[in-house]
Amino acid sequence: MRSLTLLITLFLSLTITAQEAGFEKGIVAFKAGNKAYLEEDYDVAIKAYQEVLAEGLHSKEVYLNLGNAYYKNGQTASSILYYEKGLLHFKKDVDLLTNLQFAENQRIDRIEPLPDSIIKRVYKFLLNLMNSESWAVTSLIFALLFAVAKTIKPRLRKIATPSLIVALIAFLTLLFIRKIERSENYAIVFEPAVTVLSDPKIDAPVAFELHEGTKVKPVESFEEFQKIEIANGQSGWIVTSSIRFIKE
Amino acid sequence: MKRWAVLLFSLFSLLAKAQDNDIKFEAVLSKAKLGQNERLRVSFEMNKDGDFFEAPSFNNFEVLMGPSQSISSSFINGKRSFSKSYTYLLRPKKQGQLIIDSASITIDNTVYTTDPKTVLVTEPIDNPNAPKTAQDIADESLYLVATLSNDKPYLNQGVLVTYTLYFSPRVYINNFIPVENPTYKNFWSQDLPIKEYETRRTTFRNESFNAVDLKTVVLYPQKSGSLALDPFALELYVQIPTGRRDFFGDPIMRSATKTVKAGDLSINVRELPEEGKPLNFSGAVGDFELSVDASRTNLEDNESTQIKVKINGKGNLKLLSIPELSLPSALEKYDPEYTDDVRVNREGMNGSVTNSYTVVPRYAGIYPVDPLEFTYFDPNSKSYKTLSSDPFDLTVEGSALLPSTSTIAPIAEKNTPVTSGFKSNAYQTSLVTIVSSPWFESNTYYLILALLLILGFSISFIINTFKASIGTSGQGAKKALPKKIKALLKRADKLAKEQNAEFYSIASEILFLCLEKYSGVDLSTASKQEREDKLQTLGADAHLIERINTINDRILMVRYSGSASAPFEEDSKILHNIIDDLL
Repeated sequence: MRSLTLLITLFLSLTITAQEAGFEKGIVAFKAGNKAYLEEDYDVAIKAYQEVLAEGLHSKEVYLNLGNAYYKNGQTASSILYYEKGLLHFKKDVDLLTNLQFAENQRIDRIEPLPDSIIKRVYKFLLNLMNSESWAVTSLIFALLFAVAKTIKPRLRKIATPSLIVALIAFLTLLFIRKIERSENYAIVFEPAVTVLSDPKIDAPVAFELHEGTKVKPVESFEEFQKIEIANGQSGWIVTSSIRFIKE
Repeated sequence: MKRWAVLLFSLFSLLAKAQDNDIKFEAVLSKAKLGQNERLRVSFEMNKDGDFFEAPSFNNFEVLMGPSQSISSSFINGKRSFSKSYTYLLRPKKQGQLIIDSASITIDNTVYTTDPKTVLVTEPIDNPNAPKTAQDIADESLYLVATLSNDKPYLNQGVLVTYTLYFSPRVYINNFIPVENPTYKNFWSQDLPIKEYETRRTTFRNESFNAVDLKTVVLYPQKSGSLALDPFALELYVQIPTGRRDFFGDPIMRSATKTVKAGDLSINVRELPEEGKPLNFSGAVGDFELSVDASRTNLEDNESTQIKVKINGKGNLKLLSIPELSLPSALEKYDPEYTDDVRVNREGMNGSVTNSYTVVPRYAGIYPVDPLEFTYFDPNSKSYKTLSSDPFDLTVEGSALLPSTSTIAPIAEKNTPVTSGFKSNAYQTSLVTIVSSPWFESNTYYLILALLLILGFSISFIINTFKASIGTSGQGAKKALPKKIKALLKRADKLAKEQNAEFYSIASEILFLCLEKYSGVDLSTASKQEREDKLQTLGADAHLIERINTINDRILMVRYSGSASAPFEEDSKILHNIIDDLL
């Protein structure tokens, strides 16, 4: 019994040390990246920042710096990809958003987006009220309030039912937001110029042309082709290797 | 003396030697071409007398006359010239290329021979002995010839066509009028005007001729294969001397007109090689340079800049398409303005063509102008060459940023301050582990939420069942009463506000209902003392009993003496207190 406890303790301490070593490595790589960035050695900086991500670690600064390094190195598509990746984890981050706009300014395509659908507008409205994390917290707080009201304080009975309703609404909102978020996986065009075909075959007629850095929405895939949709509602088939997904 | 003699002798012998070297012996024909019924005069001429002349055999010829000798000797400026000739008059026996063999002679003990001569004998002519008419002379002394600088050009490679008029020095050209001008189908063509006609002496068809270039045209074939050129025809007005002279000794001229034609030929245009032909090849053939320049690369938003895409060099400049400039969409680009500065000369087109784009940036940022590629075919090296312009950045200062289209952050348009510039790197960070799905997506979250809700729902049920299992039947009845009391209380409150005396009868009713509920016995008919005892045994404190008595007294008072000065509010409050304490 004692040996088992010892073993568990040892194992736990080992994993913690391993984790700490990872953090240590990440910080070192981040600092190395910053140094290379200041020396305008962007290739080295990019490599260093990528190392941080490879360690399974991130922060909005890593995405910002990595995107900046790509931006300064003239790799517009990559910089857009990493700003977007950063925004995926750190929503509403002003720095990332600002630099994303700078990077997007360099794109060749200008696509007039269609007006949002009702579902999209509801989604945006709900997300504008609170982000998904807050919705989750709200649902938990009100569920707790409901339970407490029912159990401990009979005098709080009056608020039990409203709490329950709020908790359920928050929970359903969260599910709705997450469902839309999950369906919204975008991709960035990486080729300088790529033709979008009307069918998934090499000699199919060309529907239109896209350029580096343009954001597309993958719809379905067939062999080495990916059906994509762009903001103005046009769609077509593109060779999968010419785009990269924001969410992997 | 003896020395002098030697010197003199050697001098003479040198002179003699020098004369030896100049010995000529040759055959001269009166014409190189004749009809079968014409006569040919052949003379063998020498400049020093010789012996043992041996005439050739004259096969295929009939000797009409000869040999006749003639000798002439003269001194001019102290220089002796001598000539002797043996002349034969011959008539050809047959047509074709006939050869007059060598003749030989011995001069100063050396045997000299003539070169064999060929003569072309044609069909018999009509009037062999008649003098040539002016038209005949015009016919044989005027030729128009078209020459190509390159008879196997590539598609779109320049070819120079020159029309040259050859005319014999015997004729004088008064005037010429082009009667047929070629249109050059399938070619891009440009006439190079000739400002001054320059006559030069050349040899044409083994005869001395004057040549003059009348027309030069630069052609760029637009189609491959064998392309026919239309002929170019000229009508010439010429003056031909008759050989006679007038009274004053001036030659008598006769005029004639003659139409000459040239250029009825075809050009074999080669297709550009398919091998190594790039996809973006736009048909440029020649030798070019590409440059992309901006009038300014640092500017404020809404200022404009000119970006010039310029191709200069030699080749089909007017026919090629300039590669299109592609710019980030945030830059407003207007349609290009095309200008050319192309000169056409004998080598073809050279100069430059330019597309000038006006670009107005609307938003701040650094915009890369990507390198442009331009591919042309170089006919000299027979290969395709690709030029690439240098990339540069347009830096736009200003406050306006392009609205982001990021859908991941839908709040962008609203919340992002647009005044900010490009965010530089952050140098402090706190790293966290990347979690693919957030905590509220985990089962733990769902479980906690479910547990809390289940707890909330089930707790009242649990308590109720718990109470039901240990509670008395009275408590069950007790639960039924408050509803009635509640209704009455509500009415009482209302009456109290209206200062209505009926309040007290309702209050009495409520009071006794509560007491009954509390003690389990109906106390409405009991005396004051009995009531107090009963309450005391149930554990009610003295304060409560006091209040019950107060309200009861008041009820009795109002019942018997009216509600003139009754303190409704106070009583209502007391009643509420009693109910709260009892239940």
